[in-house]
Amino acid sequence: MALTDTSRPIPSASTLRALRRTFERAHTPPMLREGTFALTALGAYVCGGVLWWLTTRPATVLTTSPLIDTHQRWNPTWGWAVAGVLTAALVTGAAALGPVNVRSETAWWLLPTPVDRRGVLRPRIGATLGLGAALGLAGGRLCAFVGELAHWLPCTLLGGALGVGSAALGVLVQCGILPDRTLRAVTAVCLSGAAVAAIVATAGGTIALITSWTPVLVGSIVAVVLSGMALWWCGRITLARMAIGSETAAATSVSLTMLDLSIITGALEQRAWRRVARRPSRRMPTSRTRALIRIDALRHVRRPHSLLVAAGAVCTGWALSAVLSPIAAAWTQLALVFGVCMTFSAGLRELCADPALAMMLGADDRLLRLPLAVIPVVAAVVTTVLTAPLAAMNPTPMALVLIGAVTAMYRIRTRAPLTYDGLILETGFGQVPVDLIRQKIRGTDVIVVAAALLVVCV
Amino acid sequence: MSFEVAAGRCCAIVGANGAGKSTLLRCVIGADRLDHGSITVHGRLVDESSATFRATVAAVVGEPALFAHLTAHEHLQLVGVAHGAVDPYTSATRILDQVGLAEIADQLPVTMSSGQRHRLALGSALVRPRTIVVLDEPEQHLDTGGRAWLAEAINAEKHAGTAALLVSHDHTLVTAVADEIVDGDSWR
Repeated sequence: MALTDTSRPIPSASTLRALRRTFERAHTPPMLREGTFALTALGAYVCGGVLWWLTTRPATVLTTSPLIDTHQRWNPTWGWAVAGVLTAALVTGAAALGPVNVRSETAWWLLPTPVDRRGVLRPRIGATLGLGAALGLAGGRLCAFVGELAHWLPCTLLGGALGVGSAALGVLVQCGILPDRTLRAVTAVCLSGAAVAAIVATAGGTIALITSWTPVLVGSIVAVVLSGMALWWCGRITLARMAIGSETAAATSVSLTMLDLSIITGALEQRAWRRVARRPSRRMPTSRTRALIRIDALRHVRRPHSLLVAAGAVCTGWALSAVLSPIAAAWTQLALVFGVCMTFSAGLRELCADPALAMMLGADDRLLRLPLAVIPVVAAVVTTVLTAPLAAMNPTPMALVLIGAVTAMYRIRTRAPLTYDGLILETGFGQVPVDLIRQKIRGTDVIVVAAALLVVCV
Repeated sequence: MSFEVAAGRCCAIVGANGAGKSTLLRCVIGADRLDHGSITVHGRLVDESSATFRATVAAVVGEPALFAHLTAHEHLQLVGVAHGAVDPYTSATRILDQVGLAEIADQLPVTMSSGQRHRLALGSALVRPRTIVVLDEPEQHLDTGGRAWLAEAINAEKHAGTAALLVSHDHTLVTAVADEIVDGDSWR
């Protein structure tokens, strides 16, 4: 009998799901079930608390906080700026994670079979849309807080519709129904809208947030249509399209488990450099120091996203300087300068993360690290100067911000790769990874000290 | 176990998988620590953080370390510049040609296959001055022509006075280049 002879019909996706659930129930150890129950209960408790907070706080809870400059009248137009940034973040996040992705075992064992792919993926699409809705609702409520809306429900629901629509849009791009540039265009439109709202708010103009139900109805219809299309066409998502998101999702998961952000940033950078693929080789200077500075600069020439990050940080600094209290403004400047400095220090990170690179370059660590610190330091100086309004042009906090950000960056970038086999204290409340905390503190301690000193200076 | 590798000689470590051959090489280049015993290079204990040691030993052990944004040609130039090579640009071009990567000189490492990255790592060991070369299964990812070139390259190293230490499963390569053979199975 030929091995390819088949007489039985292909089972449906739901039949296979039921079979899989039966296996899982049969083989899951009782301890694991207890753990899952405990985690679910904890998640429900936290989510319930957040929900309670979001629904019971007064409309001015954020705008009357000590971090906001209460001497000026609050402008609700900032709510639009926050909405634009959050929507752009949601769309970008959806694109980075797929948004539909599958675990490797499903991709290997199940998806290559003739089982109806739409049926297999439909629950995942539902979960993706649900997650989009939850994030959108939370974002909408945040915007309502920023816009001081007492009648917050329409804005919150519109946020939910936007969340669902963004997730569905991501799925349609993944299906190949919409071109890849759709998500980039939506992100650009959202960020431009946020920039316009920030300019209007800074100039004193007012654009009220949504309080009527008509936009909610329109937004919901669009979201439902997009979701329906996503559910209908999801069978067209190829394994290759899912693999991209799956890599990122796996890296995110490992990053969270290992408490190491460099895993996810490394995976995203790999994807970005794969898009660049090749560039004409340049002739290097013959001095080692100059060559190292040149290669660090080449990184930003070949992928100028870091320049966009710096420009965004400066614009954010200028916009926030109008609304934040002096100490909050100083902390924001510290955060922005530190963020820019970290973005420009990828070369130092690569060198220190892999001792084999330093070995290959054949010089003392200090001689290799200092040239690679030049560009981050220059970026930090420029950002500090350009965000000077946040420090009210006061040189003392500006110097503190600069020194704190640069020192923290250098200590973080030059720390040894994380190890997980160090001291762990067994306490009555569980395990405390003392050694891991010690490793993670290197660098962040400087930021905390700088922030504390800013309280004294400002 | 104990052995020495003199200048202009090649020592090959052979043996079954799991014998600890690659671990030994990692100890030789200072990437791993010995539980007992010592390894000396030019009479000094191995110290990977020392600039003198890094300038002395050219190693291709494990997955090659590469900068994500530099092309193959720029990697070799950078290694040449960092080690004070006289004309790093020309050297990089010549070595790329020798390791069969001239056509992908302008490609970034993320777009290279594992074989191409391995060849680039071999190139990085050859583009710089060195007195000791340490190679872990250098024949991997090389076709028959590539393996013949590798044997020639290692013999050329020996003639230039470089000490070579390699781990290999390729009997032909070991026969062609090794002056001493250490059996990794003997210390299991």
